[in-house]
Amino acid sequence: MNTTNQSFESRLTDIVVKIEKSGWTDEDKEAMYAKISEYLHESVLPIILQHAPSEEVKAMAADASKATVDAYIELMKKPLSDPKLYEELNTATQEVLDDIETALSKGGIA
Amino acid sequence: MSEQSMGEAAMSPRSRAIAYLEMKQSGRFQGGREKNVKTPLVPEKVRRAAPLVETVEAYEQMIDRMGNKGYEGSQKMLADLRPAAYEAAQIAQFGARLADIALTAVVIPFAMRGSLLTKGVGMWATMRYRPVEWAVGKMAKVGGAVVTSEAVAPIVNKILHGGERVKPGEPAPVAV
Repeated sequence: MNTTNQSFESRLTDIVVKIEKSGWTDEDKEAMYAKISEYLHESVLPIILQHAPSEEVKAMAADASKATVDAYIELMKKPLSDPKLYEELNTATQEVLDDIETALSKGGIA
Repeated sequence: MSEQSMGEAAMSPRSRAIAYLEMKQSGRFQGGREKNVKTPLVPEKVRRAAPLVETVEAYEQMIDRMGNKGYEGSQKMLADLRPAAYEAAQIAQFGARLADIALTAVVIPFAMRGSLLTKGVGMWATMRYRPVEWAVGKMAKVGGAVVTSEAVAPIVNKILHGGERVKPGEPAPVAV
């Protein structure tokens, strides 16, 4: 990881500035933004689930009839109240930003 | 030059960049501590494992179209799905919004996270019958728009709160 002292928001902003200043077409930029957003969003849910009560997760996963919206909300309230979750999310999202910066360099955006 | 680097050289810059992210994304979810998260509680694109329900693809297509059909249209599309798929679809939708909350919490200063949690989780629980645009606006408001005078702030906000509709130079979503 290269720049953990810089905030997530600051790093993400820098990345967007680089893309905007690149010679890429709007279509290419749009595709990259969509991929970045997808990757960031996908990186957080597995970590949230790791902080949910494992027995409840297993029970819900094993029986689809138990996977109601109300049950899901109750399940997710617990991990969202755990301060450690945000430390892990911060680490994970910084790693994703590392990947994005490497991807941009492969795409000719320094 | 290796076979891989020759292949990369033949790709456009955009394709090279996105292909790299695809590879990293796939690796992240196939290994490490996340590898055991194979439950119906994470949308298919996240799990990258055995299919959850046959309607996940239909659900994703529905979500893509919801923005064009408004609140009533989106509810009709949800109702048209089979009952079991309807619940699964809503859970996946909630999962996506939960990711919005989580990313918002990562962005804001640590001292503010407690109040965000109270507001964000409470609000998240009431989103069941709300259209996507409403939820996106609400979450942007709770998290606070990205505080920067940069012209790119609308794009950063959309990456965090409404990714699939991110476009270069588009105006920021209107907070409700």
